[in-house]
Amino acid sequence: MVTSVLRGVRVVVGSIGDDIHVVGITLLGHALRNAGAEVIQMGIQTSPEEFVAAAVTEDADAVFVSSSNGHAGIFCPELVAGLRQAQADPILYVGGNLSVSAATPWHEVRQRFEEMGFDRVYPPRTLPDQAVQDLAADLRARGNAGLPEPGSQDA
Amino acid sequence: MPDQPSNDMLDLEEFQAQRASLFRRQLGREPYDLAEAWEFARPNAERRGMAATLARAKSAGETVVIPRAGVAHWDAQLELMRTLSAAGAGVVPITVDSLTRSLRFEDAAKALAQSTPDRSVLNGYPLVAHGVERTRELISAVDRPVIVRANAIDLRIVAETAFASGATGFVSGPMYATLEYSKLGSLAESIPNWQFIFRLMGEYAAHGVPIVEDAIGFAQSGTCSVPALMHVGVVLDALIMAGQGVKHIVPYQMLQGHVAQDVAGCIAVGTLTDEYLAKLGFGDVRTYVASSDWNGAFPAREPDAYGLLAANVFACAIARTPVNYVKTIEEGIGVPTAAANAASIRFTRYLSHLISRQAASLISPEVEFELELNLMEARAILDAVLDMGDGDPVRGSISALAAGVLDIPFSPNVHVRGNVLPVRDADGAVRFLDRGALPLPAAALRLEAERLASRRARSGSGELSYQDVIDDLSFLEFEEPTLPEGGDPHS
Ligand code: B12
Repeated sequence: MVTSVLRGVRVVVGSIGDDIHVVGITLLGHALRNAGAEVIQMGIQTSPEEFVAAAVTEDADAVFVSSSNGHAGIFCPELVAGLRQAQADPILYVGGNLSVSAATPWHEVRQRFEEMGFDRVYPPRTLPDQAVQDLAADLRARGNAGLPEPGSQDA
Repeated sequence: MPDQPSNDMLDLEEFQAQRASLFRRQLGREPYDLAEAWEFARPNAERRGMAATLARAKSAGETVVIPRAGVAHWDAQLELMRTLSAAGAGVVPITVDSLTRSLRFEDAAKALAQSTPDRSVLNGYPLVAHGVERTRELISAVDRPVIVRANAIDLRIVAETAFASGATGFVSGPMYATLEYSKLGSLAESIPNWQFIFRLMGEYAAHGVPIVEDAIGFAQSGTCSVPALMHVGVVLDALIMAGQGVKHIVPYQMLQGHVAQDVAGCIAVGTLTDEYLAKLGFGDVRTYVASSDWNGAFPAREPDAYGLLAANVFACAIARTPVNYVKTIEEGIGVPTAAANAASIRFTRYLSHLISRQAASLISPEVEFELELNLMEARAILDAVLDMGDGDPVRGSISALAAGVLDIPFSPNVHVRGNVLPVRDADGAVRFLDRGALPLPAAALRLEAERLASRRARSGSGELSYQDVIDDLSFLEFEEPTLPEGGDPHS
């Protein structure tokens, strides 16, 4: 379904570092586009510097970092530091499969990435619609007045 | 190096020169001494060689079960390999971490230093950081053949280190590593890297150390795909391997939950690989078909995961594939525990033992139908690709990819057209929704359309769309997952 909850919102999407998982970011890209957002799809194997450069040059409202291969902890600190250094402050989400081992409790994983500077940290199997709704809410909270009220949608 | 890569065998002197400059550039040292490596590898391969194990299984009509597994710490890797061996893995894996695969050897060494036996910071075993001596000790400490598993467009140092350490199996090839596994790499750039590795394997073979190479082709993407298309990648990878002297090849077939189509796929990929190897003059190459458990999104519920494994094992047992690569009941969750891995291996061996003896009675007319369709489609694409290279599979695949005559769905690679879309029919077999520019014969297109009619009829509009393709991504996950927050089964 095509809506306009994210009309005009610019979102950078990609898999970070050495990650080659493409299916999740493909679906996220579709969901965001269907919600009216402009998606800058970086694809797989996107380095932290490439994320930062895209966030700056594309003047992104949000950056969606995906990592499925267990190496999020290795590459994400560099991304967060890079954004700070560039004085860019997009809404920053991370998701996919964030720890190397299934035995790491989720609350530890979440806390680690929140402390790193991510606005939201998503567990595996998050539905794309969840992220769309959260982004709309976070943008409204930041005072992005241009966004339509929740529930309103075009055909 | 020739401007335009071809399938000609790399000249030995040129190969030696490439080795010297590669080691200097990527490791800052002289190449490994091959004569010394063969001294170690020859008796090692006689004691625990993968080729011999597969040959034995193939002639006995049995299936060797192989898992995938790797952790950073040496002690933990040894324990893992021993557990897998005890559970009945016929060949034991060392899966290499993805920092090492991206040639970040020093970063991998740092992450290794932060890893403990209980906590791995890496998603695999940092082979180059551990080095040849330590890995020889590791391989010598297990009683089964060892396959080193990795994937990337430049694995030359990884391969050198693996073979010098006693690995008798290795994975992948340019089709898979480039088009399913890399964003920017081109075939023209990655094929020579892989030819280097295959040439090295050829040298080991010529000196009494046979090494097996898995030809994955397009048979291990993260989504479903039409079997014929998967075979095309496998056959092209196999032809490029054989061109450099590889003598033992494992053609892959990913199992997708439709038993008749999966059985046909396993049979077809073996037939096609042997047929095209012979056609191009590589009739002395031995092949051992591997069925490989479903490789896309896995059910998170453990009982469901057993169910999917069972459907896969059925197909593998009916097709009597000499190899089965197992996933685990925790695939949908995260890197599996050793116990989950062991249970999945045991389950696979048990069911395959039971079903394989009934194989002949389970080859249904549906299998025959799928087999015929598979062969017709794959031959049409392969012949067109080879034609575009005047019979040379390397030149042919480079040109065919640019023209879309070679094309795959959901590729992360920028050089792939990506116009092909797979969709499941009403029974779950995978068909072409859009064939892009693939040169499929009219008869095949008609059969594909017939088989899609029932699914079309079921959709409200009578048409199938991209949304159906997306829905199919979770076809093998039955009902929404009901997991604790974070999908963590161990909390
Ligand atoms: C398909 C697959 C592959 C394919 C990928 C093909 C491709 N090019 O995409 C192949 C075989 C190539 C592959 C390779 C590897 N894989 Co893999 N793979 C999977 C598998 C089976 C499914 C992934 C998938 O496509 N899911 C479907 C999509 C739709 O879901 P998703 O990616 O989770 O994304 C959804 C949500 O999570 C969310 N989401 C994702 N990112 C983000 C980001 C944000 C900001 C938000 C809001 C939401 C969000 O949106 C999506 C929409 O629903 C999973 C296991 C599973 N889940 O069943 C393992 C899995 C992810 N892989 C795994 C591993 C370890 C690897 C390898 C490292 C293995 C290895 N050592 O060889 C390599 C990767 C090497 C590398 N350089 O990265 C592990 C990761 C474990 C971990 N994190 O600790 C898993 C969990 C398997 C396992 N049980 O061990 N893999």
